[in-house]
Amino acid sequence: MTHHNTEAITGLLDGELKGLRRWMAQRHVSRCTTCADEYRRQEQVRQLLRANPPVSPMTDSPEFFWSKVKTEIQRRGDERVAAPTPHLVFADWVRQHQFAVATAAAAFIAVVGALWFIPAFRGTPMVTVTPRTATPVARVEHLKTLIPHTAATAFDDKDADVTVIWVTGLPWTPDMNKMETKFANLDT
Amino acid sequence: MTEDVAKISVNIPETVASKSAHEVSQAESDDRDLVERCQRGDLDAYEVLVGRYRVKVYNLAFGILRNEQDATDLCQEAFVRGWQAIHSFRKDASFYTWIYRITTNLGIDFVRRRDRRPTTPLDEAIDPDVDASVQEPPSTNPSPVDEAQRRELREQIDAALLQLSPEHRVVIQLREFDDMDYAAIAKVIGCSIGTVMSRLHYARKHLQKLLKPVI
Repeated sequence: MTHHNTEAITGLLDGELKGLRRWMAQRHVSRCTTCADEYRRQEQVRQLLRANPPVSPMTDSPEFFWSKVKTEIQRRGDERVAAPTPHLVFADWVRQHQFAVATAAAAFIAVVGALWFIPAFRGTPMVTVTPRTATPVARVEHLKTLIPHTAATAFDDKDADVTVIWVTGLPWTPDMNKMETKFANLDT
Repeated sequence: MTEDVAKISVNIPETVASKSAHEVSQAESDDRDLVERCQRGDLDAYEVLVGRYRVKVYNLAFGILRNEQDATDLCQEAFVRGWQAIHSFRKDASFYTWIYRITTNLGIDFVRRRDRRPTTPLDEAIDPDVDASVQEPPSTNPSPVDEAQRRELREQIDAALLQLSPEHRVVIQLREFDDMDYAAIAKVIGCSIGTVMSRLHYARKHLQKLLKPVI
């Protein structure tokens, strides 16, 4: 604690701070005269109040009080009202259960980490390979090129049941260095 | 920030000592059974709950209102509202905190309404006969002078508490006189623990000024 955190002084006075917050507040109050004075003043008020609680005993006897409550309940009949359920705000709930939350988070990370290293839990591959079924193909018996200076050679493999046509000199270009070789497989 | 080299001696308490967990869970378990019976329409079960928390709720109401008749009326209204809303009570909550919350909300509303009306002077509001019947600790036999001083001091404290805002009065009542921890107070008044700390701090600071002559 590097500044005069007055609420922390109150928490320290009431014994409500725990762990690091308590240690820091305690350390600060034991060294800072301003906060030590504030602490003492608040403590004096606290002691004075506790030594003089408001005392005004209830004058109604338990039976009489209950009879009044019961009569009023019966008078109002089935009338219903809603009353909010008391609960802590989320941040306070987490702070109150910080050890449980930390333990649960650590356990979750440990379980996920352990599963990651077990191959059985990594899951099966997302891509499945199915064998291609043979599709009917057209076999080229004769090929006629319309472009001059083009040569095409058809290779036919009966075992693989494919026909490959090897075409050279297409497209035509006067620059022979740019001549490309074209490959075409009519079976695919 | 002024930091002294020598350490300053202050009396710092240990963390809040709560009631034994067994005691609390036993009481809450009993309450839950009774609440379940009430939710089925059993008025006898509610009578047990009223008997169990009647004095505590009255003390809280008196702490907020500082007036006996108003506190009794508020206490009665809180229990009637409690019955009317018992169907909405969630079993994971504590009946004690729940009825305190109803009382606190009604009390703050009551004070706001009352503050708009002309008020009775404090001297008239304090009934000396009732105050005389207050049960004192049996350890000593105070002399009349001590008793008079004590009564005067209590009147000053009452007057100071009456000057606090209802929200500040509630946190002082719950913390100093009902000895509730911050989490329980936060549940009762429906705010964060940080707000409870802040309200307590400023309430005590205000009381410091008001009670300066007697501190």
